[in-house]
Amino acid sequence: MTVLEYTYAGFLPWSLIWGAPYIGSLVIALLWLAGYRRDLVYGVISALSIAVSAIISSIAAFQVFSEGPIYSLAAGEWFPWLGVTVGTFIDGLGAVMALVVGWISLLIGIYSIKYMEGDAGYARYFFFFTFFVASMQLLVLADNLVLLFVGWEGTGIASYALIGHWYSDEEKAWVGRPGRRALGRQMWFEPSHSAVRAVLFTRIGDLGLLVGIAYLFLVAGTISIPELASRPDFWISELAARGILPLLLTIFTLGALAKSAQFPFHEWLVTAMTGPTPVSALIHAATMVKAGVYFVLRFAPILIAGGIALGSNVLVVEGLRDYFMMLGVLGAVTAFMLATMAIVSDEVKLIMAYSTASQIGYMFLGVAAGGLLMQELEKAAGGVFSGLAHLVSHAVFKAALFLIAGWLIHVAHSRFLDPMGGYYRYMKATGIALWLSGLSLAGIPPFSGFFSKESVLKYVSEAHVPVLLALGLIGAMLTAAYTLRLILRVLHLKPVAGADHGETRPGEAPRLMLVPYLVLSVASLVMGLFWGLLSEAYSRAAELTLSLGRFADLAFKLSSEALVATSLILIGAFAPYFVYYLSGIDTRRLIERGLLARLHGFLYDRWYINSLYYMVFVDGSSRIINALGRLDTAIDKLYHSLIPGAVSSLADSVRSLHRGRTDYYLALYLGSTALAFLLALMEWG
Amino acid sequence: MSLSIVQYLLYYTLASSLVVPVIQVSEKTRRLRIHALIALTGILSFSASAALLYSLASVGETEFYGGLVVHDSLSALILLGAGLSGLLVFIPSWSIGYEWSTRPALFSLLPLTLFGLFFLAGARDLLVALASWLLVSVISYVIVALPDDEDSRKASARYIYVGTAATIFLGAWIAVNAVLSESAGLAPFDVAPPLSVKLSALAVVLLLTAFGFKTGIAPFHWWLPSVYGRANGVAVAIVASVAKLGFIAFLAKAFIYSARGAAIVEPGLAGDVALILAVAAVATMTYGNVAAMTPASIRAVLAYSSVAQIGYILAGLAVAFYLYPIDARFSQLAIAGVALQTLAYAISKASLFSLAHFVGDDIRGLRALYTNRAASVSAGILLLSLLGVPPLLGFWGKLFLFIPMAKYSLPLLVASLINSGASSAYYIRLLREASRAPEEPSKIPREALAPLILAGLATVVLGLLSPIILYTFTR
Repeated sequence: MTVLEYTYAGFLPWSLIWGAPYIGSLVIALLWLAGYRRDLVYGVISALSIAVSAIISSIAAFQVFSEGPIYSLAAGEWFPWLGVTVGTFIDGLGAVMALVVGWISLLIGIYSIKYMEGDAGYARYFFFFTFFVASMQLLVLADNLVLLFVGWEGTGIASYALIGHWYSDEEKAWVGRPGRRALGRQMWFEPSHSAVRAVLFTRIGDLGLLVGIAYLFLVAGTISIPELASRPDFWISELAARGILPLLLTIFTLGALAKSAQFPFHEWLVTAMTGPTPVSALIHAATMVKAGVYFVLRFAPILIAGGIALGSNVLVVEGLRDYFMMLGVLGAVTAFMLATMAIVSDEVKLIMAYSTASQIGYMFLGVAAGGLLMQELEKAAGGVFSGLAHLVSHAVFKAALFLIAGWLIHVAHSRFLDPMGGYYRYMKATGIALWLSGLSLAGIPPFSGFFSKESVLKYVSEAHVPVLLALGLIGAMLTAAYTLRLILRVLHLKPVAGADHGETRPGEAPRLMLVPYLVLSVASLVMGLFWGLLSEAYSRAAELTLSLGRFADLAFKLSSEALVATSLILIGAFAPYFVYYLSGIDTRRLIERGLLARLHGFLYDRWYINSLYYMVFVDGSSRIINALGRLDTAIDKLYHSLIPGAVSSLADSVRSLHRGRTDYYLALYLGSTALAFLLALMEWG
Repeated sequence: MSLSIVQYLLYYTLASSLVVPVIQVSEKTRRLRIHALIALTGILSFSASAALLYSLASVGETEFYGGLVVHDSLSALILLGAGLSGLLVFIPSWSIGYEWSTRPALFSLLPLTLFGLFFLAGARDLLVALASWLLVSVISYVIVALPDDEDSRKASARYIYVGTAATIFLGAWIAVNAVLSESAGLAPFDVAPPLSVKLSALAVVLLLTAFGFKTGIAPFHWWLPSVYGRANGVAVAIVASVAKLGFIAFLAKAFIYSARGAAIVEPGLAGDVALILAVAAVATMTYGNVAAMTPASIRAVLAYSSVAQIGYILAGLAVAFYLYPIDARFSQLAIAGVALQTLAYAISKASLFSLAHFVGDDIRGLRALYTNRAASVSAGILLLSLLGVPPLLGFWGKLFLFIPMAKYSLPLLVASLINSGASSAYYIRLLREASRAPEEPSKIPREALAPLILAGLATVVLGLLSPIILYTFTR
């Protein structure tokens, strides 16, 4: 096990990485409460505070990469009894995450200034946007689990508020096709409904995280992340001895699975697309959904280090293997399942949402592969960091894709694909951006998405679990297919339904919106072209990461697995071209009846999972609630009818004994006395 | 010296309560103002007394009246919470006073409730406990009936029915406890087994039954939704967030003392008692959370959520009780959790029940908050605190309950967390209504908004001060 050396530093300036956006959100809140009306000021305050965060995170990354990790602590402890500090811990992993969150948030913030112009909830939007960025930075840099949880919940609240931003629930903000039902349950969702779904789904996972924190504290006696990392063998062996190692780790990871929308928690992300598009880009593509991935990236190396230290303990090795296998299976199933949904979807943002959950599945798959390879530390480091590499690639190209989608929806006055088409003629720059970021998502060389996905699949292949590799490869082929389908339909094919562009012809987005997505799209290409340098940077980050401290080999090497994967991706990418340009097949008629129609319905309705959730949980709860309501009514009747009625009858009966006759009273008295004697004789006689 | 000041301030509270009904001023508005101001000074005096008491009790147990009343960090903090809630409910009471013909009684009973709580929360002597129980109970019955309308009278009558039965069980508990401890004081059981085991078990059941009625623990809670859901919102705010705190404090204290004795009498008994408490806690929180999901009435949702909150508090007591002989440090952490959870509950409910009075019974009435951002944000803070979102007060309460709970029982922890998660459904529902534009222009009076904003601020500030509060429990 490698012990990572880190230097202690003062609370400032490093804590400003999360502190600056918190201050920004506070200023926005105060101005908003004071009724300040110049909208632009809110956007500028937000962007400035996030810029401070991004700049300091860049300086921090430079310092971490040149001098080693930083542990920045506030004076004194927040909760001395629990050992909870307010500290910022920046190692290789934290530095990369803070950079991604800071700079992508800044670009999306700038885009939002124009996109949200004229919105009635402009100030509210920027308050929650900035608050979200602060909470996300706190989450990735927290030095202990309680502080991490504070950031974790902060992102959840901001996400709820931003998904439900258009709470008036107008139809243009819905997700899903109005009127469509599956198994009798509605398949379209309003913003306020989606916001509640997001909270409920993620809350389930959050509670698992709380259980894990409480239990780890009891077993390890600390909730400090560096301390947990310093002696993982102690608490891992304790958990294994109690026979709950895989169970507790699974509960601990529930929060991560829910936050990152992995099966079976993926449903919330799909309907979260009711929020403004920049929100989808920031929260539901680039950052918050990555919180779960960050969480497993943070703890997988600690578990691997513990597993290596306790290599002779069968319970530990088996327990950790079961845990990483569970992560891998869920990741692979999500990657495959959500890709099948994306292939038939006809809503731009919905395709992106499916794709996001699917790609996050690859990140989990990479980390799981690392865990399964724990006996060879360098391969384990490579597997884990392939997850991080794909996280970064995905954050860049998916943020670009969402921002582009925001403009496309604005131009088409519709969230559906059908009225879109032939846009390349009108918006070349946007078209190029869509091609660049789309090819990166599809995993086409030489884009960053190709290299990072190849890294993941390489380590999955080395882990020797054929099912995981097969699901990953099929998912990669489907990804290329649905991405190219989207690009071709939007940019080059004619619209299927009548397009309604209002009075204006489609054109380029305003510069303030165009520049952010152009920058991100070009970045996804540049990152791929310089993959050699980037993979070295990831390796260095792995060396500087808590419990890992090893070189992670992410350099691309031509191998038979890489050739198979690339071939499948190219087949997937070619398929839409074949269908739309060469075959002359009318796909709409193809799905009108027969087996294909049923298959299409099954995939379009998300494998009926949403409907099943409603049937089991919502309808089941309703029945319980109704039963409780009837019980309440019965109790009410008891108080208001039965008790008064019984007392009244009793009173009447007692009064009927009082007839005003002395002989009668005498008889009752003697009878009572006889009864008392009889009872006394029975007990003591 | 400090002890005397605590007592003098307390006597002033009593005096303010007694003076109000005898002050006669012919002009109605002026009379009302004088009554209200006297009551306010009484509440402030009590709050100052509680603050001073907390500073004393945080160092060690503080005795009054030759040990008949003893306060520790838990009871002192709960009294401080009662003082704060008293101030919060006083604000809407001022305007309500204009509407009720019974207003002198309202302004007299508010400080008198607080006076009674001092004895109930700190009672070490069983007769003091009985006397203060009766005082606070009778005041609660009267307060519920004060609006003098049909709903309030019905609610009060129901409250009296159940309260009387609860008092009988309290009397029985006192008798059993006196036999077990061979004294009239609250003391660990020390009679030799096997009789003591049976009697201890009986004592626990009687205690739970008596206080279960008062605080709304399942299956003794049936009256609560009916009373909280139908009586006047301000009256319910007083009963739910002020009077109830004394019962919670005494219940906690009684169980903690029983825990000391239970371990001596029969080690296995502690586990059995904790199990009974844990089962009741899970039933209580589950019932409250499930029933709160769908009602269209704000007061009904708040009433059921009050039941759920008591469930969490009782779960904390189960943990504190079980861990006391095993690991006193974790037991203290659970007690700190009980105190903070009670505080979060009281502050939130004081302002939310009052608000319910002004916005009408329909949950859509909360949309009136939309016009006032500070109030809308404050309502959000209070609901999120009840939900347990960091870094608000309610989060720390839950966290300090859940950490030691993991040491006692993982199933209890999981059940509590699932309940906490399920409660999101109705808290978010309320939150959603509070941030929506009303269908018709509506305005909420200042006397409803002020407690909301003050409670919101208090929830944030106390959340940030939780480290200091925890320190007073664990040092």
